[in-house]
Amino acid sequence: MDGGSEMRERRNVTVLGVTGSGKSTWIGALADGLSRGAMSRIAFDDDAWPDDTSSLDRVRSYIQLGEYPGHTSKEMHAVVELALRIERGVGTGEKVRLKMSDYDGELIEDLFRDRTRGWDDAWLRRARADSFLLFLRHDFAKKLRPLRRPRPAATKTVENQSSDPLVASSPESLRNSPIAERSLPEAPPAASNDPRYVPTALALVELLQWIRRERGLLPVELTPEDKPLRIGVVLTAWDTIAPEWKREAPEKYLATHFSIVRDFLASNFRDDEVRVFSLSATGGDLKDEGYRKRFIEADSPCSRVYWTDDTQGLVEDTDLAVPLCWAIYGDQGLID
Amino acid sequence: MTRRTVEQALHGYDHGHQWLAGSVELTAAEAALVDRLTDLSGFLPPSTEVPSYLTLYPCGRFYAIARTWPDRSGTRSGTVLSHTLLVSSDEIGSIEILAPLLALHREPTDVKDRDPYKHTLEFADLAEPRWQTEPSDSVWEFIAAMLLGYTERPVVMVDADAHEDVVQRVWCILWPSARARFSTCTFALGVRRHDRSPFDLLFAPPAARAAFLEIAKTPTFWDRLQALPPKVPGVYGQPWFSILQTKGPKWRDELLDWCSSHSLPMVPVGLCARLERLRVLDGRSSEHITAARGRLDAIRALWPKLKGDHPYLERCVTSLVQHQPNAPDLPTPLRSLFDLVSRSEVLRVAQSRPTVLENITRVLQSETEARCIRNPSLAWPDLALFVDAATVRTWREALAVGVTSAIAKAPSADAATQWSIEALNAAPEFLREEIVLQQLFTALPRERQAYLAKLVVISASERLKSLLFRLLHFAIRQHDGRLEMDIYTCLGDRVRGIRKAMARILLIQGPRYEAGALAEGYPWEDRVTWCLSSLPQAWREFAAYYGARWAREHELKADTIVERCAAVEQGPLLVMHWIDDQNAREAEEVLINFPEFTVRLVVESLSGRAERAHPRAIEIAIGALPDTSFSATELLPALFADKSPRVADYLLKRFGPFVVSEVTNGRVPEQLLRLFDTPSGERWVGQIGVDEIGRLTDEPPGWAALPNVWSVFERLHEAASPGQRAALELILIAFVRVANMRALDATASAITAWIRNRTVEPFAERLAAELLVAVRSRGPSSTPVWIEACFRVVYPQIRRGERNAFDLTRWRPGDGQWDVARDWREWLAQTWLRHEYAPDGFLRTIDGDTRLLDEALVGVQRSWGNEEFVQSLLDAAEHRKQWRSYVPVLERWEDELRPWYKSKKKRRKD
Repeated sequence: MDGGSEMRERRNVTVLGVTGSGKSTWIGALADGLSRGAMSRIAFDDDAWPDDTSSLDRVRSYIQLGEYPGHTSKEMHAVVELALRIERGVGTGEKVRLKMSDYDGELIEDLFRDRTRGWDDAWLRRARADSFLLFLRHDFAKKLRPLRRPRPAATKTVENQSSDPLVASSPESLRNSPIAERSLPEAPPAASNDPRYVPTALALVELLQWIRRERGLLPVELTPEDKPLRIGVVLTAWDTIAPEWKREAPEKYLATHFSIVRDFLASNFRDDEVRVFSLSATGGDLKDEGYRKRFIEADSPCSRVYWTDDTQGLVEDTDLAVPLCWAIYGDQGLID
Repeated sequence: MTRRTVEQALHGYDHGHQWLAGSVELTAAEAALVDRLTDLSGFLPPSTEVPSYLTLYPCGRFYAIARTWPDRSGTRSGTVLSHTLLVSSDEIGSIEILAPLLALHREPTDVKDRDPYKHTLEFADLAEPRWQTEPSDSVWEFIAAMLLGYTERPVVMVDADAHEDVVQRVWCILWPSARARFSTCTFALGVRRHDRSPFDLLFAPPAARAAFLEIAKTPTFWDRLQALPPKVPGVYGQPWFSILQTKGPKWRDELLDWCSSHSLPMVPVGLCARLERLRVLDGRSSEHITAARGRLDAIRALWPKLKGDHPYLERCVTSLVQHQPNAPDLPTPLRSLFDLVSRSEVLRVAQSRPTVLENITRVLQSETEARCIRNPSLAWPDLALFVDAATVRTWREALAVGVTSAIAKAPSADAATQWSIEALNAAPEFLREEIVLQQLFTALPRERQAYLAKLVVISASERLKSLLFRLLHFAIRQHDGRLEMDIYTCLGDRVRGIRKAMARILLIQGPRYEAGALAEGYPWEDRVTWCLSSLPQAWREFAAYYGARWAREHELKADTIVERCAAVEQGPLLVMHWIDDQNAREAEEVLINFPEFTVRLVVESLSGRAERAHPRAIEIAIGALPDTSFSATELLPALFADKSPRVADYLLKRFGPFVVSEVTNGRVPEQLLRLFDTPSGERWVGQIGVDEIGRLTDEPPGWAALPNVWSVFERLHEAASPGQRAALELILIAFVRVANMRALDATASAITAWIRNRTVEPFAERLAAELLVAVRSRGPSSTPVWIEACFRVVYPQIRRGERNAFDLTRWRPGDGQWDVARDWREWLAQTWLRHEYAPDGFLRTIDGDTRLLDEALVGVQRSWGNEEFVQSLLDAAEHRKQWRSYVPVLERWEDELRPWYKSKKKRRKD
């Protein structure tokens, strides 16, 4: 799925993510929260209410019933366009128009396979956005497959792991990191008759490289400071993360598990252009009947969004629009 | 029964919907298509159960027959498993029955159940289809009607039962090539496409109805649940549907055989009904022209690119051509021929087959002639369309021959006058120019005008304009101004017609009365409009003359004439002509009401452009000018240009007194003084002005006006140009001559001071002389002042015999008094003696001239009191060093005038 939000003053936000990364769930939960008036940072602009709300009803229909949205097929073209009003923060009172289209995340992997001629007009439009939200589900990424047998398990303990994210993110440290090895089960060696998978991190890096090229940016070339190209990394399904990562900074998780993405972002974007969020759109597992019932009956939002502030402290919020506000306004958008 | 092999593939969701297993390697394009079409086709509404469904479509080298099941073991909702049978596209056409293939589908237990799909499958093909003639339900009728009778795709059926039965039934009636292109899905959540083309047939669940919103209004969409009938006529009345129901695949075979026997390719599926209709028409076309036409229509729809040399197409065209003599004259006689030549198939055949071309040409010629003769009034209107449609040159020639022949055989020799406008519109294309010319030139002028006048009521078409322009060139070559004018009238520009005709006459140096007479054939309003239009210089006078004449003849009111003329450039000239023969009082009254136009009129007359003078008109116009208009911006430049001296003289005669009266009031517009810089102004100053001013000043206000005049003179004289200075001097002199004593007294000090400072200037001398004369005749109390200032300036000239000053000032000495100098010096002495003015003034007047002193005293020689006068002078002279030279002269005169009883010594003692 993908979302491109067309803001007034020509602002656009494109949502990127491979299959199963939680784009549909986030869009559905966002639309549902807006419909119920449960968002604190944004609200529907009542002066520009759309005549046809069927697309809105479609994207929120699953969440409304306490279900995860189904897999988005390649032939599905759900487009939802919402007129919104910013309720909090730097853009308070400003009216924006959010246009999101749901797409099949496998398209990104297809693009990787056919990267010389797979970009159609829709992708060209998405590449022209002002900022991007890159969705990653922590446990849904396809791993790089080693061409040899895995080595015996390392003997180092968790306590010996370096807490420095930079150290953890280096390829050497990542290979020797017991946490990394425990968190990332070693993929089996490739066989000739295996289905052809595309490593998620490679597909996303390739996509980001292509977007930069379409925007005329050479490798490692930075954008002008007055025209930042923001990339918000959204780690989804955070409610299912291992307990030791619950209170960790999302940046640290990204550096540990998607080091190639993190390195690419660090090499090609300024610090203020990249921010990592962790997010749980539903706040729990909807397949758990008990939680599903609580989710449907809840008065307050169940969703959670985490990010680190300037003091490296972890900030928690229930508003799913936080990544969107940051994508539009930058760090100013996070300030209430 | 034939054993065949088929490849297979399994798709499902494993980190994305993708290829799971298969027995064959697919190309990238094939794999991408299968990947897409084995997944759900759109948004699956919540709580919607996904049934097992079929998807059939061509896929590169294969024809895919896929069955899809929901993936109940999957981690995500909305995921499916699809088993696709890949039949070679070469073989799929020959598979008559789908059932054996559909039996090969196997539902996997989960995504890991992949091994059974990795090898090639075999099946037994049933050669003979089993056609079920019954039952015929509404779903089948709708789908059959849409698939076989319409080309729009997709055909969408919402909430249909027994989808797969219908698909199999459709499969039975398709022929091999159609089967290889056929595509369908029995559970469509949106419009499915392959290679950007929509599927032929889609069955949609009611929950997905909203996904078909864009095509819901097309005839090929039917939502059965909404209980509305399909938007197509029922198929029960259609003969082809009855045949289909009865024969099924046999009907298909008949169609195939028919096409094969005529060497025609089989048509697309959606045109089968049309093909059946062609088969029916084929049998009737030899009898009816309508059937022949319908047959060609059907061919155009079925095989639009069929080549012209195709035997069947040639036969159809030949049949239509042969039917032409039998075609009815309805709705118009030429409509049938028009239909024939406008058909693209006819043109293609004619271009490929010379015999057909000749045949059509012959029929066109004979039929055109016959129909034009038979019903000309209805035939002519179609001619223009006919010519447009006939794209082949020989056909147009045949039409021309046919029409010309029809005209030649027309009952009246003057056929052109009976033609309709439409016929003439079409004439250039096929009547040939010479025929039209002949008709026009052989007609009498009145008939020709009537003929062309018919065209005036409509706007001429582009084609007619083309003809008219050719005629126009002919008229120009022939110097036929009348025809040229008529043609321009036809072209909707009557005024231009008049202008052109007039110009033509001018060009050939024809008599102008002829032009006038020529124009008189047109409404007088148009003629006057032409006269007032922008015209070349050579025609302006002529047009103005005729315009004025025509205006007078039609008794246009004076106000109307001037009002119309005021708006155009040519207007003043026309009004001048009009005034020439008009009552002066009436003309002046109307011009007074239009002061701006009157100024224009005078300016126009001053420009000297007029061929002839209009002295009467100008005099009236100038008389009608208000005083204030003299300062109008247009008038003065025209006057300065001085191209028309007579008018300028008139004007200055009118405004000169105005200028003078302004001067007498002590004010004069400085720009008016510029008049005197012009030759006319100089002329006025030199010849006319003196008398004019004289007349004006010969009234009491003028006698006392010298102070005002002097103030104007003093203010402007220094900075004035020579011409202006001359005028000011003239005016001043004029007022000096008539000035009374009071006026002289009032200006004495100022003028004498001015003269003292400019004694060397000629005008100062002249002014002094004039003033001296005035003072001598009026005798104001300021006389000694005037004499003291002026006499010494004037007397030397008088002494020298330069009498110009006196000539100019009209002073004439008394009879017998020829010694002017003596007269003046004796007057000087007498005046001083008589009025007992102070001796110092006398001596200053003498200005060191002892001879003058001596001679002046001669004048008092016999006067009473002369001794005392001389004595007072002597006393004064003795007390001034500069006057000591006077003493001897005065003493001598004292001795001469002393009585005998007074000795010199005694007097001194006294």
